[in-house]
Amino acid sequence: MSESRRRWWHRLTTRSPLLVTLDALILGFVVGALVIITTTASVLDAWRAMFSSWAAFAHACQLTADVVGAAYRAMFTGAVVNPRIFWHAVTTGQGWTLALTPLSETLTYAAPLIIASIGVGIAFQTGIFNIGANGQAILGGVAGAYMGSLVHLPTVVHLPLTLAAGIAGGVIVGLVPGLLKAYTGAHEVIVTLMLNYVVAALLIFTLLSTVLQQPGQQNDISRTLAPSAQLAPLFGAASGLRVNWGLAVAALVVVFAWWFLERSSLGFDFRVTGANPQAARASGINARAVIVLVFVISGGLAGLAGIVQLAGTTHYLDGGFLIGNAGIGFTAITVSLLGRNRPVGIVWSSLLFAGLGVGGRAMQAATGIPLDLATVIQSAVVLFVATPVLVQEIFRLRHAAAAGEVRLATSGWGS
Amino acid sequence: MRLELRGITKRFGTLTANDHIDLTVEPGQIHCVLGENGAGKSTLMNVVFGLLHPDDGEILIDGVPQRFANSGDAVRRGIGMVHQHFMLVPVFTVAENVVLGFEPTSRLGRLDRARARQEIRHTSQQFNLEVDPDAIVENLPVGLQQRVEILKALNHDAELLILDEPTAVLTPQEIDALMAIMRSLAASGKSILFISHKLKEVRAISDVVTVIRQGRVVDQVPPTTGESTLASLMVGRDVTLTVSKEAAAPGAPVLELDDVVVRDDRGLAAVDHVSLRVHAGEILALAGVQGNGQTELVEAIVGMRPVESGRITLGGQDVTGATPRSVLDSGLGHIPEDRHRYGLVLSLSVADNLVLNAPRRAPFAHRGTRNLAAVRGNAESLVSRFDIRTTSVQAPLSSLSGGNQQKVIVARELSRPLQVLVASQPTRGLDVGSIEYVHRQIVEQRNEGLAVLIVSSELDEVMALGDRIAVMHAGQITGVVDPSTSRERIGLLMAGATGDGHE
Amino acid sequence: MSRGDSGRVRLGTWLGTASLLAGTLTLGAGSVSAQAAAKPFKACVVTDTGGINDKSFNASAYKGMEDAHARNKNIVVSYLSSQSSADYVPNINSFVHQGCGIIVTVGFLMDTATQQAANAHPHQKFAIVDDAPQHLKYHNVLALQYETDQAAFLGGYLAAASTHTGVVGTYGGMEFPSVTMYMNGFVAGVRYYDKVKGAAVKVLGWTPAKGSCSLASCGGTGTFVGNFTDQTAGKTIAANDFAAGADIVFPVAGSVGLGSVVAAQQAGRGHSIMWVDSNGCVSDAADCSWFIGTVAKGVEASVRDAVLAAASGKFHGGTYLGTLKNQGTALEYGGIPVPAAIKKAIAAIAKGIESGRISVNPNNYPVK
Repeated sequence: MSESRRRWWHRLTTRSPLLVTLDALILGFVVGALVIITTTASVLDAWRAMFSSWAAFAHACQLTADVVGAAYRAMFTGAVVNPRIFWHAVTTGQGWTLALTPLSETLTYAAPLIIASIGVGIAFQTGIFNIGANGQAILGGVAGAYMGSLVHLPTVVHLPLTLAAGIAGGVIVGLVPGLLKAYTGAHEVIVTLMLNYVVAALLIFTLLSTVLQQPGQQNDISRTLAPSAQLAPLFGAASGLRVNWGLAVAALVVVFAWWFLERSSLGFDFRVTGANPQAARASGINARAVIVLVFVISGGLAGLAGIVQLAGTTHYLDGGFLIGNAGIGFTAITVSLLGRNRPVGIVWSSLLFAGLGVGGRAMQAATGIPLDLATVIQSAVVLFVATPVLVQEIFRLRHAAAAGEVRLATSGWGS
Repeated sequence: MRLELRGITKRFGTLTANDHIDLTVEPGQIHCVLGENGAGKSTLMNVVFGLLHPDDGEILIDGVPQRFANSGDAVRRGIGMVHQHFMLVPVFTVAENVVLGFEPTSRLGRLDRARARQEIRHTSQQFNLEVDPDAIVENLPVGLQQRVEILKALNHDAELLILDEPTAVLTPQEIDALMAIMRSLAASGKSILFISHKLKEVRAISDVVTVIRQGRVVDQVPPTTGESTLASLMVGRDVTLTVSKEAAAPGAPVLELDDVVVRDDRGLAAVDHVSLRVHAGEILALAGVQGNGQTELVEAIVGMRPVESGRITLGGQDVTGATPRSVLDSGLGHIPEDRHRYGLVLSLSVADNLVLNAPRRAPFAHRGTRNLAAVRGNAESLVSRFDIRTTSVQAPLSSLSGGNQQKVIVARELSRPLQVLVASQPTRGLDVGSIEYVHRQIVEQRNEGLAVLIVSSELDEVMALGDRIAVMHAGQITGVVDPSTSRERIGLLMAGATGDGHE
Repeated sequence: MSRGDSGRVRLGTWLGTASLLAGTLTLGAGSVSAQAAAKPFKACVVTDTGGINDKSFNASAYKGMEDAHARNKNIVVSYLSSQSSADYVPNINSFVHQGCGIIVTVGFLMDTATQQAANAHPHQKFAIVDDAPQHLKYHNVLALQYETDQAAFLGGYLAAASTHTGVVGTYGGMEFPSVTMYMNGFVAGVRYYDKVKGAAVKVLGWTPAKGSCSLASCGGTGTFVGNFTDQTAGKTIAANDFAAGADIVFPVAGSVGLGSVVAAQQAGRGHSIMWVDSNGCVSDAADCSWFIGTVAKGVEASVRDAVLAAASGKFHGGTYLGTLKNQGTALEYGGIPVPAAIKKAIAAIAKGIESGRISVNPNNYPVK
């Protein structure tokens, strides 16, 4: 074995955060496959008959491979690209919309998720649990809806103002736990968690008010955002692709977050506070100011995520805006942890979660296996990443020599 | 009991903490294991006590090989351990703590307090370990708490007692009392494994000294061996043990405390009307047993704890109740007592830690954006100037040894423009080599005209460094004395005797 | 051999498994494309957030699809559940790309998404369950609508005729016309009973506004839960109604009503529930003995017919209006026996409504 190959092999068998994540991904799909096998009657029947003959055993294997393969294949072609359709588009120049739709959908979902997750991640890096990103995002959407649907201005002014309104909405909700924690010591987990419910109720309340409600409707649906306040499709409305300028906003946020955490003085204060709050205080960092600013930034980004979802994708609010499974502010917590609270990691984990969601839809449409499988895989991946020792044992990885320990959680709950 | 260790080896990943350690403790022997921090002493003790499993080697008791699945096995085989941090329940009585886990019970499972009390009285008398069985542990002084730990081990019929750095938290008088107890235990046939890095004590009490360095036994020597020989065995090179310094040339007072009162976390007056002056060009050493208000006093000076009443000035400027930022900016350097908690961020790089309390100062940042090149340049120059051993300035601080971590703090504080340096327990947990280095740095700064306040519970350190020594007890200054004062006298002041009553 | 070396062996096994898995993916691909040759008619349904097991519309729509499959085996059913309103568009688009013969969407909330898709894909056939009528613009959409106040009128009459306390209650999930239309018809039925029998049965939970009621707008004031999922609220509201003297409650709130069933069981025999949408004795058979009846919406049959029509090339866009006459809405009796005389009277009233002789507008009857 050559030296460079040996080194590769060493890296592949030594525990590192990246390797643990990749292995967790493999394990997540293995768990997903087991779920498919145990919930598909025909496959189970085939396995029940496996002892009758070699042919039956072979059949069971074949059927399992067919079913699992079809599901994951549909997931991939639905979330990334369908090679056949793509090749058709390349050779004929026709059908590009269809060929690019999967990727467009994944990116459409990923954009607000990236923004919200980075907001959560910055808080985590500061040792703050912002469980309220969802409420902040919802109020961002509501504030943005006021600005975007009730005011009429040229796009160059209107769109920035709408986005700013979204950020402001998130900041307002974020300031509540921020100020409470800084000045009274109230635990942010409780406050942010509870505020989610307050904001969700506020959403319905505003939607049923005649100010924001769509005229002629009695349902909880808002007016549609003025075109001047919308994030236009990235490739034009005629492209038929939903991916929109929200993706560019997300890219800017990633760059900002990278600069903020890695290069800015304030970000340094944040990281010091997150890693060791007592040392931060002893070094002259104003803990109160940091707590309030974390919530301003984290809440503002969550609000931006909300308005990007509204202005880029849904264009109007309804009672289900970011509620339940659509709660990107909740998903952001998991995504951020999976991405180790770092901007680049968060981009990858957002793409993974968006892709699994979009691909899961395609899988259900094509094979009938419920979309919830995507959630199973997502959860399993996070679970494995959270237990690196388990992954290390399963894959028999070497213990990393130096520190480089995988740390999924930030500091503890108590503080 | 005769304890024999044969070829004990313990690895953590690539680190070999214990490398084929051979050691024999004879019955009635006080056997000292001497070594620097990180030499592998605690690992070895944890192996003996069943808390860790050796990768290789054997433990024999009276010639019979043993396998300890856990510390319970070790206790059943007659091994007792007094940890550095006591394992007592503060709100329980002495008796309750001693019988904890092996409670004498009446037939219905009820705790038989009378029998517990009686057992303790019996053991206390047998070994001269006077302690009130009904006292609540948290109300006892540290020395007595330690006695409770020893009682606890003896009550479990320990034949071999492991004492892990037992003197770190004691006053000189308490140390003397502990040594008397150790001698009487040994006389009654108990074996004692005594862990320490303090040469004086080791020479005073041991029968045999085993020196370990980097996980290996370096030598086994009699206690009569000279201090400097022991030190060089421990460190692996020659070390100077005394601090050489010229007489101080004190200037104007720089740090002044007037009638300062500070409350602790429970609201009690931990600092009780303290007035002190630290002059330029002198080292004022604040001596005292831990927990007598020194910590709170320093926290108040550096702005981390509110001042109830009184006044603190720094270079003539009132800094009472100022924020840590403004205190640091007005020229106060601080080497905190608990460096992992207050002085360093282990997950950040060496370079970041070297600018921890000045991240915004030019040239390290410009308009809110950090200048990483300047941060790195600063780190590289400090690493070479202060001889900090690290693979790279970008390595996480956690990859450095304790001594080098402390050097990072010293380098950071001394590289800033300072008027006064406040150093709490600046050498705690450091090996002989690092202590020597830190002391030299402090004296150098004082020679250059810096006002220095040292807070230490190590009497040797206080006497070696201080130009004047202030002794603190129960929140009050019991006396300010000259370093030529006798140890006994200072010991009495530390125990609360005021200067007036005895002179 | 060091620990690292044995690790390699194990990892190799895993890599082997991984490549095997990759192999199965390609195998799977082959067999799937082989199946595609049969060319079945794909009938696809996008459900609203309740999913296909909500014992309500979504379940009924899915049942209608399966009924269609039962009659025409060439029809293959698949579904996507929306987990939020943000899923409507991508769900519909997924099915457009799957080549579905007809896409059924459930609930008026999906109106905008359905019509946008209909505009973008003029050759794709759509049917939307329970849509409001005024929005319809495209020839390739069939709106399935139900005048549920007709059957609710019969339900109101049945409740008024069956109550022992002279008080009945109703409440809604959310204040939508498709919900209040039921409540309005229910009140009308009670008032009609009062008028013809000279009784004075009181209705809790809904007071109709002046004017007529349609699927576009059906106003009034009343009790609403605020969602279609909170069963605890359904229990509380019904318990309050029982405490206020009512003995029959009519929840128009999907699965929220299950909470009211519990409230009736706790209040004891003599208290009962009028179920809604799909026959309670089928969808919630265990509790059949607590249902006096169901004001049913003929979602199953209308969806089935729409799918069958599309499969046989007879699909026409426009509006389907479910009435008592075409069994698009009906009163079905529950597990509590109803005297033949009342059943007979109700059958006669149904004829009257069908012929237009009896109005279902509560404002046409005096309030007692």
